[in-house]
Amino acid sequence: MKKKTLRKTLAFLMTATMAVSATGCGGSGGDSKEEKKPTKTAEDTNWEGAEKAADLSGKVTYMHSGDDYEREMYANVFSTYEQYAPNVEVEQMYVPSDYDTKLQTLAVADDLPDLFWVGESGVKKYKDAGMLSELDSVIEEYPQLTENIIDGVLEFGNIDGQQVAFPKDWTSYVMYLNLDMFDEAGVEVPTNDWTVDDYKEIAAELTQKNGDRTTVYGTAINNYRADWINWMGNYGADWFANGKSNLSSPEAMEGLSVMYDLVQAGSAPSPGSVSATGDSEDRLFITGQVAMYPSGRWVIPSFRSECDFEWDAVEMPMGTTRTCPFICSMVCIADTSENKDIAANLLSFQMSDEGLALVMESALSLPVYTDLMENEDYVNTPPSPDAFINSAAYLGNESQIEACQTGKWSEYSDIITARLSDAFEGKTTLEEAVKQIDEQANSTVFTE
Amino acid sequence: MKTITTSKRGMTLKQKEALTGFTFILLPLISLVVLMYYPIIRSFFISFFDWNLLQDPKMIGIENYKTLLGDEVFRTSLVNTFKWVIIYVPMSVVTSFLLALLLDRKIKGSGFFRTFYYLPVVCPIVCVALLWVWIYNTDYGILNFILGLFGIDPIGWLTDAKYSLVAIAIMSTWKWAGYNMLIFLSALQGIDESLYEAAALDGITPWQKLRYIKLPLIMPSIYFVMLTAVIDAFQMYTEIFIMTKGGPGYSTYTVSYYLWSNAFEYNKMGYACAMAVVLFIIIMAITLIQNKFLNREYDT
Amino acid sequence: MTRKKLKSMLTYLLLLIVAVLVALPFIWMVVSAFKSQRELFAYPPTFFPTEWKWENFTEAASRGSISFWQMFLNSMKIAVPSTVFNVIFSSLAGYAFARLRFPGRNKIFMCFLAAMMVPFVITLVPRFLFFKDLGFYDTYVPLIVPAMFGTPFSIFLTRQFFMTLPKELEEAAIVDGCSHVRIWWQIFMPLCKPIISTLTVFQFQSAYNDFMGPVIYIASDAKFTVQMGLSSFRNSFTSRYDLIMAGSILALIPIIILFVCCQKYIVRGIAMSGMKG
Repeated sequence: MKKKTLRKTLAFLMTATMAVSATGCGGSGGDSKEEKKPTKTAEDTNWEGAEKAADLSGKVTYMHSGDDYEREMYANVFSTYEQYAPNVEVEQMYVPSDYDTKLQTLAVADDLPDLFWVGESGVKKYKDAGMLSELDSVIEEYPQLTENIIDGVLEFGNIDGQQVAFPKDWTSYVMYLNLDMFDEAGVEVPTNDWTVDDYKEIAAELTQKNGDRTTVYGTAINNYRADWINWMGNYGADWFANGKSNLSSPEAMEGLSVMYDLVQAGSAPSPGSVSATGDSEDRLFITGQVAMYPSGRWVIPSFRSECDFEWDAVEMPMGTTRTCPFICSMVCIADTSENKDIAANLLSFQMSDEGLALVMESALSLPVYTDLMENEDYVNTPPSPDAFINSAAYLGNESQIEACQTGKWSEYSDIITARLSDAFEGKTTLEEAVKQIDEQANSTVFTE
Repeated sequence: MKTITTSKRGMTLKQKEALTGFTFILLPLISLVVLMYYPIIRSFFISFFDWNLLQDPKMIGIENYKTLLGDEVFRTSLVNTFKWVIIYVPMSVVTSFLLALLLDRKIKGSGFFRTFYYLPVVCPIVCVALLWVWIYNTDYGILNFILGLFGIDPIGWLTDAKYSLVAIAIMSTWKWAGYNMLIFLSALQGIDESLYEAAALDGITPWQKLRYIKLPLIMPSIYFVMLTAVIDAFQMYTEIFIMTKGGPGYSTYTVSYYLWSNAFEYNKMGYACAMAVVLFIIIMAITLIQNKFLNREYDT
Repeated sequence: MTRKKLKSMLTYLLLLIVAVLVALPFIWMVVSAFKSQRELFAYPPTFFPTEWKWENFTEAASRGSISFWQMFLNSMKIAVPSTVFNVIFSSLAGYAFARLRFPGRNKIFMCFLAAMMVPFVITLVPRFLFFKDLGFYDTYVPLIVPAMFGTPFSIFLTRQFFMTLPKELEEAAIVDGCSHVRIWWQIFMPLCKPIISTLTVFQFQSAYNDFMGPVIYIASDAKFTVQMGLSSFRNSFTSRYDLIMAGSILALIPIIILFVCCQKYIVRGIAMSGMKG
């Protein structure tokens, strides 16, 4: 009796689990053959691809990273696109974390989605592997794509003279200010023409201590590529030249020493002490423990919803010159895609005024078009848009392009992170750290 | 051991037994070969290539192994890995053994405690790591806050290279002790009650009971737990990935972490495979040594 | 009598102290889940939230393209079959390795043992290619199958357990001409409840908590698992620690309920094997 029930239970479990796992593999059915009429047409938009969209039919997959917020934004973009292209189905593939691993496994498996994002430093790798479709013809077909485009942004997706990735947006790099703290301390709020010396001075002034413990830091630094590139660039450093790492050049040193000095002076927490605690510098800004914080546009949504004080943004302080690092996920079309037509059409929609409006409202990033940069609907407030608009004039940097196009950025970047962290934590001097970086990178990564 | 008598009938019985044996292990064996050995062999081959997974692999002989010899980061990672094994394995095995001893009693509520002690094991690692990152936080972590009440200066648990590995070891012990505890416990509870009764008549002390009855009888479990703990320790990766990313500097780089970075960040599959082969050989050697010392008292 | 009482008092005291040590971080986690982001990082740390934010839970449960409940079901679709089959196949193989004589037995067993020492990262890519070539990409198959036929670990565990059982158990049955399938099912399986419970617990939690697997094999978000949902609160741009904490608790609730239910059987199983010896 007991045995029987046991066996029955087992059999039930087996069939049940089989059934359950089988349903998991079920495909998406219901592809009706009949042609559907678009609910939105060329008359509703200034997008050049609307007419073509109505005639297209098929299915494309679009893979992207980001957070839940971005997922919803792009779901919106795709459904709007489907109104123009009623016979096209856009499958959204949202990867919340470990995006690069995912992209790579898909590439290895020869199963790349039709459209996908690649970070600015990863383009070369996929291009060399022959996985990216050329976009020159797409740009030709949709001239709006490059109309009024900001100088320099295309270069990051241009490998060996061929456009293979399109910059969907950019993020700029600015200094966020906690205005309430300036008020309380009676310190004048810096303007866009401030210098590094002003910055250091204000940072020291705003730092507050309670005994030995620093309760408020004047500023924070990130041991992160945008910060390095920004500071080195602000001193006009050729930190990567002729295929070799050159961080020990005097200009690069001077740039990095801005960060180093701030930590040494106690005006900024060492990045290690922040990140190793699960905390992050942007959190410290939100919780009122950091008065000035350098970062990209992506922090704005959380600042807006969480900062309970007045805040604004100014340009990064000037060194001998200015450079804005380029941080972006670029859109690529897979060479294996069977629907390149649709993919190109969708890309052009995403980059159209209408498509971008759906994305830029969130203030996660900036449009790559100069006319839209001036438009309040696309670059909205707070913070005041000037810092962002101005930085478009000095976006991009030769060294960054060259370093990205070695295709070995992540390995290089890990070396810089580890060695600089030793310096920031006070285990080595900055001189030693940059020397080690150059030696190690040039002997193990950039060997040719 | 009495073997079954051999006769004409015995032969078929033996064959039948062998056939049953093979049938029982057939599917696991196929799965082992296809999903473990085939990939390993393939990885071994890959270690002789320069391969970024995306382009055609390029045969480069033992170049990867040569590079490995001169790789400073790999050396640091290896040293850290050994440090980690030495810190973590005893800490974790002893803790879980003590927990098991504590629970190996006929008392009310032992089931409750058992479940309770096992809780950390089922807790998602992302969550556990974050939790401890807070506890360890130099400035506002609860641990330094408590230590501060006793007048101890804040310790940079995860920021100071002196403490970072120990800190992660404490966390991992907290997380995984319940796991090995269950293995020890099921072994302890399997010990024949009559042995204790006989021993009680001889009036032995609890210490003697532990030393002469419990320890020898659960030796296979101890061996097993030690073995898996060492292997797990060599493969330690997730905690590092979530908590320190190898930092500060290179102080928490382990071989597995460096291997992962090479394979899935730098796209040096061949190099990563060479590392895995070295790691494999090291683990193999240690297992053999362990086998020699720990396995004396029981036969396989 | 009083000494015995004192002793059990002491035991309980010890058990409680350990319980507190285990519980503290958990309690910290629970109270953190109700805090605002700002309060999470306050100094000095507050223990109880000044304002209990229940919204954290509703937000954690409803974020993402599919509900938390759906993700939980998805996780179950992986964890349940892999656990059930794992237990059956490992105990069969464990029985064969412990009790049956066949040529090459110990060598084959060594092959299983050796496989435990392989760093898992190294099998990852060839395995991926293997499943992909068979057309199992974006299905749960690659997540179920590797553990389904018994992992080296689980086979080793059952084999060790069977080794500790006395030989006399099956000898009479063999003389009576019982088949090994019957011996395994009728004599050994009832005795190995402790090990089955242990295996179930181990395999279930490792499948449920597996993170890298789903990341690699699952593409469409309708098939996301709980762990993937949790990690989506943490990405390169922002980390919502409040949501991670709240989400973790949501993820823990089902599994804790499951273990509390299983607990009864684990105890009973262990008690039975204790009686039999």
